[in-house]
Amino acid sequence: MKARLLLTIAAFFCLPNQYSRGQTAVLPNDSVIEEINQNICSNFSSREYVGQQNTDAPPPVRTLEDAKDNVLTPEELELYQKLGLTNLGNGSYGCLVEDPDNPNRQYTIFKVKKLDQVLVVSTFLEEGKFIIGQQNAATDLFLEMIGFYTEIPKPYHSGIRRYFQEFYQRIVDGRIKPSSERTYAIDEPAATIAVYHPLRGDMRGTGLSLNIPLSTDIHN
Amino acid sequence: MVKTNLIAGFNNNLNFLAFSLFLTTLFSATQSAVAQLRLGRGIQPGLEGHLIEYQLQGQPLGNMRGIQGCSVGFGTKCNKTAALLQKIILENSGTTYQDLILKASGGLENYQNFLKYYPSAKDISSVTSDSFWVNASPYILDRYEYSGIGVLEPVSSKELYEIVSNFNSTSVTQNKNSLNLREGMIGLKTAYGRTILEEAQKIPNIEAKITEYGLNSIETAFHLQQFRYAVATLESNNYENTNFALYKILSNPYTDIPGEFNRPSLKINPKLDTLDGNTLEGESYIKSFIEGNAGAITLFNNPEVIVTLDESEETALYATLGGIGFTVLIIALVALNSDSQSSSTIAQSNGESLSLFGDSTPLLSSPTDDLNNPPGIIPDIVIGQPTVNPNNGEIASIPEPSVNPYILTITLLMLLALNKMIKARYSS
Repeated sequence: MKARLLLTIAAFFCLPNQYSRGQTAVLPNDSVIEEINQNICSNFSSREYVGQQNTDAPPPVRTLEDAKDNVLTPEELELYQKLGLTNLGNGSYGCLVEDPDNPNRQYTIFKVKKLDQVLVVSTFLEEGKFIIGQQNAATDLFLEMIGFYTEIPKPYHSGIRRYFQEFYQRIVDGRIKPSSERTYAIDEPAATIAVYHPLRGDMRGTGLSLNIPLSTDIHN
Repeated sequence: MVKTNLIAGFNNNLNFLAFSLFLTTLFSATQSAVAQLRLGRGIQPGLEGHLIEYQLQGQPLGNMRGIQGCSVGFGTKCNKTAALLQKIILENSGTTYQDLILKASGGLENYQNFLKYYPSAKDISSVTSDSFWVNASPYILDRYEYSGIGVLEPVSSKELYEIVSNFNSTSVTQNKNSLNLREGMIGLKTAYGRTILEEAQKIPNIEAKITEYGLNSIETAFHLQQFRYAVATLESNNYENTNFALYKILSNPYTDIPGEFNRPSLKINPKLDTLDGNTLEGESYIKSFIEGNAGAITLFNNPEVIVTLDESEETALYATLGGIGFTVLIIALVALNSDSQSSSTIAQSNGESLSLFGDSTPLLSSPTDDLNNPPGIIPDIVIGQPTVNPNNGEIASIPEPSVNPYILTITLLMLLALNKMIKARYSS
């Protein structure tokens, strides 16, 4: 009898293990699946951490200017919350992912920040490598942002999706080399471009950054 | 008035069917027309990879020339006569592109042997409609050089010659005993062109089918003219003329804007090449015990504990609480004499434990008094806003996996110890 009780308790506590792996979660119903898919960040971290930065540098100080940039409209706030993007400080929003080789370590996988009238949406590749699910999630994030911040009509989004699929393939093949100088145009009227660039901070690897001008005038 | 007419029309099933067919056609036509990239006059759908290759090879966007429009086909096949024929063949006899390719290349085995020469070609389905013209401009987007097939080395191979000799009558092997990789591809292209013409001719009233396809009259006339010319050259047995006609149906697209090789300038703003990009940096973090700080302080009333705790201890806190919950539960269980309980009751008590666990959680986040909560600690460390956890469902509230061993061990020990104690007490 005792053994049965213990087994039941053990089974009960083993159950959450499946869920906490995030990507392999068995989801109870369709409505939840939809919610998870919209929440791009949740595909990578079952809970978001506020962590201590892995450098000797002092914690980021928020300046007045940052605070000004930081103000999101209610619509932006709603979008960012839907996507699971949280405030990472310094005016940026994003989400973290657990280092598969070191469970105590996390790194930024997605980040969104406004810089001088340009919205930059980045995905980061540690050691230049995508993790499982990152490519589709990155495209989803790019298109969510394009849908929100540009006038690019929805039917054109499938072309942009295919462009990124081809782009990722060439990153994986090593054909597209990281360079901060090289930009790839995706849409002319909206002057949307992509940059595949090396990282120079405490995270090693590469980033793919989509630039969405918030005032669309490339002709000056 | 229009609405009433429509509704009246819908009463007739046939009319309704025709109308929905019309809508479907309209919708798919519109879709293919706009599902592209908005660079200049537009990059046709399916040419995104070609565009990246064009950019990678350092060609200026401002010079780019390409297919204007895509009323039939996809990618490099856009607006080409072969794409129209292929669609009509598929609709009439069910023969797919793959079937046609296999037929053209002398069967699956021969085709697989052929593919071994093009290891970098992940998908050669575009190659039959890519442009191979030697002297064509490098600014043409649907050139085979931008198909991702890689550089075709001019090294000749006798074996490749033998493979291509098994293709559907291709002239590329004429007066040769070896072929280079580019010639091999031309072999496939022309064999495919010949096959598609032969298959099209098997369809009764093929010209009527082309006319009825639904393209505008100028476009229809263009494709009909190219088709008729190719059929005529096939019958003439003049290889040179035939090849020229095959290239036309495979690679010469319809365009409503004139341009050399029927590929007008795409009028992309040259400034798009020189735009500066902004980038962001990623950060890495070591997980630290920050979430639930307030709770820890309340519970242990000793700030030093926080300093020494690392990530796993955070979960230990939950474990302790879970342990307390379970102790209560187990006491209740034992008091009810668990030995005679049925398993269904146990399942039920598991449910209770959940609610107990849930009830104890507010203890963690409840505001603490100032004496027990040293000021200043939280604002210094917390660099982000409290996270909005969007998973309202079960996933978010589930404890970390590392909790399980703790709880399990504690439960085990407590269960045994308590049971023994109580038994001893009752027996004495």
